[in-house]
Amino acid sequence: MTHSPTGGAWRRPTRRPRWPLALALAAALPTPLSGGEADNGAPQRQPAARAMKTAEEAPSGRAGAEALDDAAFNARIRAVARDAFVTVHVTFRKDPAELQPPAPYHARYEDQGPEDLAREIAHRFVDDCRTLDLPGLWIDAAGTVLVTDLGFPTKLIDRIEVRTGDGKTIAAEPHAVLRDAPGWRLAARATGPCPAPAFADPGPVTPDMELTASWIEEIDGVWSISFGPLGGATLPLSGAPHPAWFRLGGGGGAPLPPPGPWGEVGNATGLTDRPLHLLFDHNAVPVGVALHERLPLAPEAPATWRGPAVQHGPAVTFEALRTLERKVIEAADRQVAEVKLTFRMTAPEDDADYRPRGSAPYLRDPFASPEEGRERTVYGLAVAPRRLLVPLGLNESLAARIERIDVALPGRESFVPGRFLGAFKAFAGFLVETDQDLAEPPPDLFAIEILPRVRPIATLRVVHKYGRRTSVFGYARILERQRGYRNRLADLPEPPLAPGTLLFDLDGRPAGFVATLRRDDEKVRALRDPDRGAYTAPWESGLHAEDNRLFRFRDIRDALEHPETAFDPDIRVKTKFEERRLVWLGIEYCLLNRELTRHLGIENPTKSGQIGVMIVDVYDGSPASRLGLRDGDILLAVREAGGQEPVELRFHEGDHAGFGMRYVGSAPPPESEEELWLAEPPWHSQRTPLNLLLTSIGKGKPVILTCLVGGKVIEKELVLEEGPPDYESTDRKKHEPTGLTVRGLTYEVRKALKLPPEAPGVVVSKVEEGSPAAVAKIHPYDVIQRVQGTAVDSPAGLVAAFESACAAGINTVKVQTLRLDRTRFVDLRFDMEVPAERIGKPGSEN
Amino acid sequence: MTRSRLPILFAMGLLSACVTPPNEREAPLDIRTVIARAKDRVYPCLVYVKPIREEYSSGEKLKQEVAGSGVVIDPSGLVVTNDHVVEKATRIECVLFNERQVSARIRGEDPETDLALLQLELPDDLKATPLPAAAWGDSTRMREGDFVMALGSPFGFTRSISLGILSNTRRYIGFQTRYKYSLWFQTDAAINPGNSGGPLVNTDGEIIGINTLGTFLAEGIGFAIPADTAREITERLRRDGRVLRAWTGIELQPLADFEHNTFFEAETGVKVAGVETDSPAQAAGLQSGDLLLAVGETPVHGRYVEDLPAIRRLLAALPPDRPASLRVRRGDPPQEFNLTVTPRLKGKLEGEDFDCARWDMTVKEISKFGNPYIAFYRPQGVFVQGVKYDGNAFESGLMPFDILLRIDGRPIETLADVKTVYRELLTNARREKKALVEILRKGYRQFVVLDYTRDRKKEREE
Repeated sequence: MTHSPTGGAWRRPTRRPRWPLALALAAALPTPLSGGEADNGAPQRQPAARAMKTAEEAPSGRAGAEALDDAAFNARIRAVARDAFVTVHVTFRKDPAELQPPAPYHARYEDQGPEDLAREIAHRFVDDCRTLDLPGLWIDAAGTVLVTDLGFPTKLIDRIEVRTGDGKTIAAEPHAVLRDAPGWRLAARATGPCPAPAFADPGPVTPDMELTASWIEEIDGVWSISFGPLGGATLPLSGAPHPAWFRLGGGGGAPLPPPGPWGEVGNATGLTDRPLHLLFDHNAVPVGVALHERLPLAPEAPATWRGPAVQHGPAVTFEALRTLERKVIEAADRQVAEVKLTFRMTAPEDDADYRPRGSAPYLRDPFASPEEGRERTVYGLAVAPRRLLVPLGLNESLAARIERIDVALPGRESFVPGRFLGAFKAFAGFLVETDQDLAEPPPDLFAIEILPRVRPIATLRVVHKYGRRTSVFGYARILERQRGYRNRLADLPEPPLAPGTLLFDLDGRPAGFVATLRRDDEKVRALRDPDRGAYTAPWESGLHAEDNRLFRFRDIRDALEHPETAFDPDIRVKTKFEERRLVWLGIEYCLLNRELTRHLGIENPTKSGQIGVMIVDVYDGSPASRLGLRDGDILLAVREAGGQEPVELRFHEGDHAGFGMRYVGSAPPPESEEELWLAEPPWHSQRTPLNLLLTSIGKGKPVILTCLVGGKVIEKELVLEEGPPDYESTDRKKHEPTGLTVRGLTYEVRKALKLPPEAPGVVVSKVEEGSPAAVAKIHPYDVIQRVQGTAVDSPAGLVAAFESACAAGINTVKVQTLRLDRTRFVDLRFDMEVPAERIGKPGSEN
Repeated sequence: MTRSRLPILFAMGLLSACVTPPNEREAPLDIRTVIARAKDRVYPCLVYVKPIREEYSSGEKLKQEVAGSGVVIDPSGLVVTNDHVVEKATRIECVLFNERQVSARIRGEDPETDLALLQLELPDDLKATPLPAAAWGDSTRMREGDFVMALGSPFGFTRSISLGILSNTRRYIGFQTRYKYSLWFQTDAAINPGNSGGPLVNTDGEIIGINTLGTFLAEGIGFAIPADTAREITERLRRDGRVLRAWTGIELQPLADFEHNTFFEAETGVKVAGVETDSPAQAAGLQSGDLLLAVGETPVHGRYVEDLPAIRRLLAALPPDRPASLRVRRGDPPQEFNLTVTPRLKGKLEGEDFDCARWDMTVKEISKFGNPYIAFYRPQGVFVQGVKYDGNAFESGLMPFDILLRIDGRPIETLADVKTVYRELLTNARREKKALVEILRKGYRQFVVLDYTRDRKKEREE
């Protein structure tokens, strides 16, 4: 979800200083704007601003204008405002395709986008039988009403009513979207001329320019006119004539009614920051409107504010938008292909005991639950006849598990195979390549140079919704920019856009796309602070909207043409065993706690036991042994060489399955020694948080370990290396006729079972019930050392020994097994009945 | 019953039967007469044994009253019973046929065969007249189907008799239990808890077995130690107070191992399934896969699992002071290996216990034979036997089966080390009541700070 109902896209907080003097309300207007002026004498204007204007200081552009006194000024403004302002009441209807708003947990299965928020909000209005009430302004006599850009799809609007100051109610329809200002024009079915303000040209903008803004707001059910001066101008320091920006802080903006669904609408769509102001010059002549809280007044400023320009400026009718929608979707049908990713699922027996239950992102498995499904369907834009760009994130662990990719264009029955080319370093997106020409890329992919400010940008999201391809068209405007990562300015579209959205100009030419920005140090950041790891939640688009960026296709031209240099080398498809390989240090450790560190006098460097682990064993030949680390040394933190902050080793008991640690919710301790042995394997899983952390950092990376050795904090440098296979990542084989699944004797298993490196054997990881192995009473974690007297060195060797015996006509082999320190001989018979579907796969890999 | 390793078998006692005088055996017997006469010969020798034992498994030392049976085998007051009845007893009371209750002390115990010999501490007035003693019968002449009677105190119902037959005379139960040195009688005479240690008697009123085990959820399946075994062991206990057996480290597997559906091609001998690490057999050069043909001059026949106890006894009897010769087939021709049992005789089957009361936990010495899984990690030392579940040890994070490596920095090799540290820590009033404990948990070292600031026992009493 780009938004959440309670949160919202990041917005710079709007300062709205409340003027202590009651600027609001010279005329109390019963709903709507009706007549009657009750001048309660409150000063309407800050005396200081007015005081500046003496005849001598009158701005040059307006030499000769009459100077008004306060009362006349106020009266004139009120008169114009009262006629010009109307209130607009929007009644919504439900989207017939979406009668119920989706429950939050469904969000994981179906793509959610900003339009869903609109739908949700509409429900609140429809279900509560409420209207959306906002200010409007006549801008011509024919009955055109200006309102701020609502941003809702018009199909959700049932009807619009305009109510005038003199009590008339007129029906209206959405007519056009202003091109150069964030507003809509409504066409009201007025029967007579409408009292639009007679805008005058305000002339050139200077720092001395004085503007007064007026607006209407609903207070306790009564719409009232307020007005006040615009806040001070902000000019760049150089003093040369430059764009002048006014904040509408002075008047307080046109705040929308307080919370409830209305407040959420405001927050989510930015309407809170989009007032509708009528601007007057110092002579109380209407000169313009403000449709945004920050008003750039200079001529080359992007947003139109001058009255005449608003009245007559270019706009895109909704009809034209619908035509554009058809055009864009038609083109997308040829250019955007469906990409079906099938992921490898892990067998439950592999993970059940060993999955650490931590919250750190490198511990999180996005496909932890089978409900997530093996397949995801996403959509990619053709950037070459055989290449598709999918602007969605795939993190390392997901990409590693891609089993196959199938690509299809709409209307075509069959899928063609695709392959994962790579994921980009700079943003969350990846390329898929097919072996045959599939789609035609847009002819002018790199044509658009800029993403315009204010002007509507057409947006298209192609999503897989409720089992089929759905194209969602809309438009957004870039109204603001903000500095973000690396001080770069980022466009902030309104409404916020979800990653994967394609952008077009108003002629339907492709302009760019929305993707999550990736940061150089995002992995380490995520390791250090799980909540900020935006990239580690690949399918949760816009988790942190500030990281979603608009990219032009031009921006990534180089990356598309030379993707090898632009790809992230860590994100790639891996085999099952490659995926499981760990970077290791080669130690066993135990956790610290406050009491322990106090007792050992190491509270300070370990932050009272919150960070650090104590080495209790070092494996021979491991990086730790080469570094000289020994039992009792404490590891505190690790960081990549290159000066970033270290990642402190802050682990919890709950992350260490199989360590036999007591933690809340764990099973009761074993009743007997035998249970102690049989309940869990006698060795520790090497998928410890420490090893997973190092694996996240990546093999080959130089790192610096901060350690506490002999009471002193020291640093040790090393280059991370991949460890030897461990129990989970080593090769394994299943021999169907005997029902045995065996794995190689890896280093930690040998150590736990006290088997020297040269001792032969394979360890049994699974015994099928009722199989010959079960009948022979072979148990998991037994070691099979010899078959027919010959030593067995590997799972493949075991299967080969079985097969060669079978080939020699022997249907019973003698196997020597080891458990604890006890050796036993066991007959394994092959001639037991094997189910038909398993025949022919004697040594299948698991 | 404290044997958690015996999920299905438990000790009971049986009543034993009556005796027929020789010249009446050929005549058709009235079963009631037979029973009555057998009973008359043994009934007066029956003893109700009531030890008070100390139990450590729950994390504190608790006293339990146990009930079992025994039989007087010597007029001086020697009583045979089961070891599991009297093990760890701090006091033993016995109720005799004349309703007199006397104390007894343990003269000797042999856990491997589950036999114990008690000496009644008779008061003077009972010393004057010799006690009625039962006679041993020849258990080798018993056959399946013979009538037997079990005498004992099932569920505390003293001086009960039950009648049945021998269901099997050569039963091996070493898979489910640790009884690997003898075979057993199986009978359907009712054996219930409380029958343990009582005599199994033939129609002549002779002891042909000592009732020991029942079977959970089964009816009519009970086990008794055959008299020849009991007699031999009792003699050794009387003489030496214990039974010493040599440990060779050889693991045997019968040639026809029905338990594991495994069969070996050989006519004679027994398979060496394995040789334990650092054992005399390993030192002598034996290997797994060897076929053991003879021990000294005695050929060995281990076709079935029921043959294994005899072979084990043979190996256990090897003298400690001179090498014995084992003939082994490993390829052709058979080879001779010299095996020397010194200096390790098979040690105690079960380590001693200690209650660290202030720490709310009990510890136990590791015994290779009693705690094979723990001994795998550390052959000699002390481990946590029990932890009270609201006690200091538990709250500090200690768990049963943790092996103690160090307490307060002091290495722990023996139970004496624990006792020393425990007392020193508790008597030092000035130090803070916390101690760093280094443990081995499932083979991996960890550290725990044992906080015994709270005296929970005192809290409970207040």
